[in-house]
Amino acid sequence: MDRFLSRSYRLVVVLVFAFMLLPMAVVVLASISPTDRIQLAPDHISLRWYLEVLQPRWTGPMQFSLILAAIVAAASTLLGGIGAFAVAYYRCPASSFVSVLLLSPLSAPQVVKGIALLQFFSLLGLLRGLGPMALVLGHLVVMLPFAARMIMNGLHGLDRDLERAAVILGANRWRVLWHIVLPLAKPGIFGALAFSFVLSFNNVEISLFLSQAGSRTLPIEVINYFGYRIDPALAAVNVVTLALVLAIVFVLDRVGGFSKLLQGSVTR
Amino acid sequence: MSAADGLAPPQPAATRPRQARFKGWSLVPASLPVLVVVALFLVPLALMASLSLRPNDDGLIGEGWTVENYVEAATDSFTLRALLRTLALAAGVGLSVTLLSLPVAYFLARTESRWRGALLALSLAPELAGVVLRTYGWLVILDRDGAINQALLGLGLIAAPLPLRHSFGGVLVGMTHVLLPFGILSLYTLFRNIDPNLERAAAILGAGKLSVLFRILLPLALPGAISAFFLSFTLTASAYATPALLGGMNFQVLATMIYGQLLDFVNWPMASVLANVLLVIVLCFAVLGTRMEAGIRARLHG
Repeated sequence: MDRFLSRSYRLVVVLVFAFMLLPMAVVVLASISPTDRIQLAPDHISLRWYLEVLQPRWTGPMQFSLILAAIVAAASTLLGGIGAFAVAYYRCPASSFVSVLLLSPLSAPQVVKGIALLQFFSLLGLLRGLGPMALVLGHLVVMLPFAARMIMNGLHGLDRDLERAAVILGANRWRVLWHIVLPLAKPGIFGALAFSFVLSFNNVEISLFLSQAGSRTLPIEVINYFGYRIDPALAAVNVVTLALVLAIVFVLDRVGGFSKLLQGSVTR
Repeated sequence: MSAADGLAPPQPAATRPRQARFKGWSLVPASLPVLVVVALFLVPLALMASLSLRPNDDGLIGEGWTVENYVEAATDSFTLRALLRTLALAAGVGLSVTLLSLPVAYFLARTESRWRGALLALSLAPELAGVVLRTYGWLVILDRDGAINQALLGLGLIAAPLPLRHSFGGVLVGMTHVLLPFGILSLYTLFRNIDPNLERAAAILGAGKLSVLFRILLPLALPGAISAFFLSFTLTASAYATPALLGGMNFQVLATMIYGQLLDFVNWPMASVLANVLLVIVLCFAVLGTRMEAGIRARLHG
């Protein structure tokens, strides 16, 4: 009985891992298919679909999404960080109320945030004028609470005695902030940067409502393309973007070391 | 705090007034994130709630106030079916994510393999890939002439392709895949906090693997499993991309209906009604989950 149990447990673990990697493996296989019909067991491979990625039809939205995600990541980490420091570090007035307020967008579905913003912007007559800024603001309101929470988690674990020690040794508040607090909060800050970048880059729900002509993100462009056909060029586009995202996250982790945080805490 | 404070004798933490450190000009930058949330989340949300009470005047927002939209939504069988489908999908995905995450999270928490870090990263990596890429993978697998149908047809097991793509099962599989990393990560943390000596002690005292599982591991994991279930439930109920792409036109859930009402039918009041309903459902289930988890935790730890 015990043996059967531990064998089936092992089998389940292997199967779940296989299940998780399956769609990714399929996309990679599809991208090297020699014909435009996707073959999962091709007799030879072809890299010609990767040339298609270089066409403006894909490089345009890709560039747009990268810039958007970079702006959103920087802005939400900065604003979320200010909020997190005000609440968790400086204990601003009414700090528990402020922290509930800052995290409140997390509890609403993204579709709800998207439609509320679209109605808000268009009833104020701002939508046209805002252009791509509408997307930046929409993404910002989704990512800011994520960033704030990651940085807050980092600050909660902070040992305040280090800061006191620095003060005793004669450091003023800016030196304490720069040399003690910020380095200790670094994993949380870089985690916030990486997560808001990835979530913004991959976002569908908000972009769907706020993308306009001339400001289409890559996921929206890919979804529109799904409408007509599923071909290997799309697979190649997806593989290239995944590699790009992985590289960016890897670099941010190298600099900021946030993966340690991940092993210890739950991020939602 | 002035520079002179640096030379003042340190006071014990308890007597030191925290709020004194936060005053004057520093309130200005600190209020920025609050302003963003109020202006771009709370105000639009209030506007949306008010729009749900306005009549729809042929694509425009009519004059006056009415609850007609809510009555219309509650009596429309199409909407009710979408609501039921949303709840059934969310429950199914919540259950399958929880059940599949349990063994994997336990494995990751207990393995002494030097690959643990890599395996943990691997189980979270799908999250970086984004919904669109993963849905694309499932489309290739589940499509009419996709991998499964090709294989089954080739083996002669079926005569005509199965409708895997535009089905409840297809969306269930896709959504489970989207949310598994969340479930694994939250249950992983939970198992890391369960002392492995409990299992060893039980084994030494003669308990079989089955009774260790049912009398030690599962009861201790229950609060985490419940929170994983409710997290996947609410995230599934909110999801747009996977149901839209894998389910197709006839597979309507609340999120896809909201989109359709807003952009295809240009019925803003109705879109607002549906969005309000979705918001209330998600909030209720989130609160229910937190309550249940807290209740079980309280009973577990006395």
